[in-house]
Amino acid sequence: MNNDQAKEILKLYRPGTADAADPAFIEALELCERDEDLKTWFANHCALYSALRSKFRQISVPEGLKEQIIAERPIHRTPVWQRAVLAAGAFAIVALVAFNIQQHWRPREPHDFAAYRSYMDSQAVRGYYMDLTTNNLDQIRMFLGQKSAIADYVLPVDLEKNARAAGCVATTWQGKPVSMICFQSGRPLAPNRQSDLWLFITDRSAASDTPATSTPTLAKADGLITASWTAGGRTYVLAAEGDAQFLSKFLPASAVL
Amino acid sequence: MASVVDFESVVASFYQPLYQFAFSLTHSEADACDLTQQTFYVWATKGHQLRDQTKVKTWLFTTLHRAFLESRRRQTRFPHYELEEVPMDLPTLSPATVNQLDSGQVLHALKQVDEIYQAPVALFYLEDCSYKEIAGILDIPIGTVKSRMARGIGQLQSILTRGERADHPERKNE
Repeated sequence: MNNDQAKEILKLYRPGTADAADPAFIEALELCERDEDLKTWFANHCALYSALRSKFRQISVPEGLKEQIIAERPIHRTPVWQRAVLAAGAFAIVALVAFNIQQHWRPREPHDFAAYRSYMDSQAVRGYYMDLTTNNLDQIRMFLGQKSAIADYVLPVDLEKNARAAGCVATTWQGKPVSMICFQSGRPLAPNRQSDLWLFITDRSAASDTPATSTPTLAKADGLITASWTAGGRTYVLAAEGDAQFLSKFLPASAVL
Repeated sequence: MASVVDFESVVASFYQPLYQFAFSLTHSEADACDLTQQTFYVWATKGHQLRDQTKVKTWLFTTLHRAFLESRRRQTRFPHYELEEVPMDLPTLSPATVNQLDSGQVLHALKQVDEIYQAPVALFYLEDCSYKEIAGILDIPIGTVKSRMARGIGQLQSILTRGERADHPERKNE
């Protein structure tokens, strides 16, 4: 590199900046150290640069510009559709979390047969609306079949003989279908009552410990007398207000009292 | 989105050099204010997209320069001159002469420099940006930055020398 080449490079050199470390200038700067003429020229260049730089930096900024910029800062607003999407997303997350918590912390309902029987007894005692009101057992079976409820039940002969059908309800217990057939025993009915004898039929797998045999077993629960048995894969509960002797009129003679 | 504190901090750090750069380009206080404000407006709405916070300064200068170019509705590309093509003989201008000038005279001289060279010259004197950063701000190659600077500086010093001679005719024969 000769003297003129160094000048051409150093004309773009800015003293007091990062140019001192720029490889493009290093060789020319080194030459300045060895060449007195170049050194003098370079000193003048730096002085001229500094003088002009100071003139540029004297450009005065209007008063209040900074405050005006800050005051007029645009406020970023999320578009309405984005807010709606965000709100929906947040709601979905909250709902999911709440659902999971409910699933994990909700006390599980008892799954045993006693719980099933107690629930059905309470249905009978609390009152109910019959889905179908009829004395015709064939219509009841057909209706229950149409409702995908249990319709392949076998009624005890004595129940069919000694009681009169009043109607039915297609209901469920813990998601399992239950057919509720309402009968009238012939006793005077309480006010607003349409039946006083109820037969509940469900699949034997609906509860964990359904009766194993077809022999009815009687038990008192929730103010009712009940007889329970399993036959043909179905579990039956016959319930009535009264005592074992009353209920036995509708059961086979083999029923365990 | 940059926070309120971030925004005010960025404004406080850069509004002055940005304004000076804008004024060097526009030679108008009102236009320079507009450009500076527009730059921070863009920063407020898009600055959060900048991942590397060390490049805020370059980002702001780039944005301001683009806004300036848009405001001029430039339709043609600037021709590029490589450094080798540029005549390097600068007119003789002494530091003492410059010291006698005021800022307005120097900026008036800059206004007479070809517009294509004004931004490189302003950045040459105003800022400590590296040549790579200046190339980014102006969106041109480093070689073009240097060639434009060299030509612009030459024009500026020539104009200032002519002005000096006009003010002091007795020096014409020196």
